[in-house]
Amino acid sequence: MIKRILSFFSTLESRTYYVFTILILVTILSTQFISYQFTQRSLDEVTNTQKGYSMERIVYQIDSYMVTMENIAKAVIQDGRVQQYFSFTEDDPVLRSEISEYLASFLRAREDITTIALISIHNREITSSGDLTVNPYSDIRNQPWFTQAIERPEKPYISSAKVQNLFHGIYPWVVSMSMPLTDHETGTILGVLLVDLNFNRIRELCKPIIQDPPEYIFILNEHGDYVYHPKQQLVFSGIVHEPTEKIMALKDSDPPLEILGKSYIARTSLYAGWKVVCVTELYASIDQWRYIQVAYASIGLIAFIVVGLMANILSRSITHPVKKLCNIMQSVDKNNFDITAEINATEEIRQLSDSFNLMLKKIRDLIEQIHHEQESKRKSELKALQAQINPHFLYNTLDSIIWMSEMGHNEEVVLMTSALAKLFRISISRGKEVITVEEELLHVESYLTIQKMRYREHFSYSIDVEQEILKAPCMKIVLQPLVENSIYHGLKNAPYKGHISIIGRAEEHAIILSVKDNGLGMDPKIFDHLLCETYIPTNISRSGVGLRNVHERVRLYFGDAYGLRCEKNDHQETIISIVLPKADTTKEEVRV
Amino acid sequence: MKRGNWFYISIITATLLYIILLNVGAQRNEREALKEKRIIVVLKSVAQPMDFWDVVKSGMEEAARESGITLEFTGPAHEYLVDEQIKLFYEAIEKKPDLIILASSDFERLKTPVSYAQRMDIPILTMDSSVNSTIPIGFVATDNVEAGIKAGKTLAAILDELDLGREPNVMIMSHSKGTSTAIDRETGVRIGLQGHHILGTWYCNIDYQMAYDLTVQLLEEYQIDAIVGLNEVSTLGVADAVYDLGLGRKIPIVGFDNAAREMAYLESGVLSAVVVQRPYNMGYLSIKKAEDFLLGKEVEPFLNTGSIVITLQNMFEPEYQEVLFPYDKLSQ
Repeated sequence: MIKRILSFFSTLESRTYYVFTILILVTILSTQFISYQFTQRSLDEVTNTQKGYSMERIVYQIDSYMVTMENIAKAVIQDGRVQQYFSFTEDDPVLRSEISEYLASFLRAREDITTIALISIHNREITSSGDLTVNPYSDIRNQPWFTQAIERPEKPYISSAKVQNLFHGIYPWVVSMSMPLTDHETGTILGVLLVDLNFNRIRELCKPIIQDPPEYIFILNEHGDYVYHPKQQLVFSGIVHEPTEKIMALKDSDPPLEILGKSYIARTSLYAGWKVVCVTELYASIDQWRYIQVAYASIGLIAFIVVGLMANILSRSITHPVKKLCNIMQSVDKNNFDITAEINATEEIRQLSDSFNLMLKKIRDLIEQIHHEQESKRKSELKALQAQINPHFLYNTLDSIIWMSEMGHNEEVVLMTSALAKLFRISISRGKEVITVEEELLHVESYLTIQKMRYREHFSYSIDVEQEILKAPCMKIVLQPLVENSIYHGLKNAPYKGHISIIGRAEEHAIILSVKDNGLGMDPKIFDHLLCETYIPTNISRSGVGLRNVHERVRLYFGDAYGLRCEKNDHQETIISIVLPKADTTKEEVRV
Repeated sequence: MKRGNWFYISIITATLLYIILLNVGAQRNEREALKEKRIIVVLKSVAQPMDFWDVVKSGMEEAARESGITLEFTGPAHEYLVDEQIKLFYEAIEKKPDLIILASSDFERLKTPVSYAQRMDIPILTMDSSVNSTIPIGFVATDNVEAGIKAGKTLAAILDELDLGREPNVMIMSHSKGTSTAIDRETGVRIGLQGHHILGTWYCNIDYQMAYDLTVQLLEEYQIDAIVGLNEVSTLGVADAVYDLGLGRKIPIVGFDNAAREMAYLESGVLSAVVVQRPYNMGYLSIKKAEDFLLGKEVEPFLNTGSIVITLQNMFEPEYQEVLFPYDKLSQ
């Protein structure tokens, strides 16, 4: 499995592709994340500001309710009839119903007030609902709104939202405000004034404005206790938790408190001292988010495909020249050094190919050098072979000239000496290896002239060469060893007068120079043996060395297709032929 | 890499990217999934304002507001109209909702309709009172046995304090023979009153007048020292009878539920204590549970929403006042 995965990364193309794909993926995800955060934050800021405004409106409304209540309370306390009624220790039923009617008039004017009640310290009560008696089962003078008003007369007491049980069997939800009822003149506390605000008014204010994401509003009093919570039962049964301590520490100017996926914004009512808190679930509140995601995914798709294409192109621009270079290197494998790698590619690959070219050039130079060395070696070999031809003959001829001079055969001496001179001139030919057929013939004729004189006409010779090959190139001193061979082995010991024919003719691709004699002849098998490469020359057969010499020289010079041939014709005459190339087929570089 | 392979890999990677991006707002998607769901709630009664079922409904509506799920309420005008509830239940099935929440009026008679719903592939969640069947995915209710025990123990404590000097006779006024709430509460009360003599259980069939008449009759026939009323109607019938006969505060009564008149009786001492449920929580939690089920989450077979013993001492505590005196419905 791991191998299979790794094999995905085996090529340059796939590696490039994967690396770039991962890079793009990471880039898109991180930009998404950042832009998501950013958009979310700026959107949150806008909604938070809006929420802040609406919260401030709620707080303002609550405070204005409170102020209204306080104003009503003050008006009631200031009222002369109220002061008068409670200053007396005895009950005045007429004044009593008058005050009750006065209190009820406030209720008619303001629907949001449930009850106004005046409770004396001891035993008298007047309420806005004149016909109802105060709850006999409830100890109203022990209620917090009563005791607090007396204990802290400087500031009106404001209760949390609560069920009022002032009247038996009627349990409205109210917010109570109470104030001490003080005597104008003496300043003594006569009782407590209670104003109940219909709590539904405040609940109406706290109705959630936005439904999606769902939000809700709750109120805490200055001690951190709940004034109101729309999910009060869930809160008290521990199903919903609110971080009240942290909320109490939250100032109006603070950014929203974010806890457990919920965001809390608080505004404080200055009059009531309440904290109005708006809670929002921290959902992603961007509706267009999905479209953004689709857009990003599409961009991603396009990017991935482009990366795929680019990876393909990029890797090909790298691998293609490398492959080309490889092919060129492989052709070197097949002994082809005459090439240069010319590749259009990146700098690195070009450097590689340049180095390769340099290497090839070095190899070529080395090969050339080896060729030259071999050549010179062969040349020195040739020289050595040529050198083997001459000495005996020279001594013998010089002996003959001496002898003839002693005998006074002056004419013959001249003839022989001039022949010898010709012979040597051609032999040397200014060091040239190749001469014309004509010159070679002149050379062999000089030799025959000398030998004929030495052997006193013991043999005759004839030269018959086609005119057209006279100017053809020919290696020097190739016919002479053949003629020498004919004389010493064919004719010298023959009982009859011998004859040597030198024949030259052109064939389709070659020039054939033959030496034919009617002497004792030579077995072609022995001849073949002589020429075979494993032959080791012995002193016994000196002539064999001469023939072999010629054969090797020709072959060295013109190639293996050329050399000596031996045959016998119908008249039992031996013919030894030299096969030479017809045209100038000598290899240029071998030319001396 | 094979030619064209990268093309497929590109598409796969892009899809992956899309999925990852979508999951950034996973929470929202859960909400969105629920937005498309629809639940029908078949209640025991819907017509009467400000009663138990009204509070259950507001709890449900709050939960639905949080999640965005669609709710539809139905139910007969009165709790005793069992045939009507069965009919409405079948109608609910025909509407093919994603789930039905049922507060069953009868432990046995709703069995067949529930198995029909199962055949129609509609999951059922029961609340308040269940059905004698294992088909419902769960049950959200007050543990009525536990509530009964609380009532029984409260009364036992009062009787111990009274110290009549003889074995007190306790009478139980139950609202129905067939409803699971009545059966469970009675069981609980009997456990809670262990050691005290229970005269017997009488049934008023969710009829106030019958409870009243029965009590008057029984008070004449027997020497009764204490009474337990197992629901709102039976408690009020008993309390009214006792009060009218001038026996208020002389015969301790422990009741159930929190009707406004019961609260007045509690304040005046005619009722010694009432055991109340948490209907708001019951409604809220039953919707939450239904949502959990619809989202494929694990759902507990039973969820106890709890009960509270209310006496004069704690009835105006901030913690309990909203349970006892539910907020008025606000104008929408």
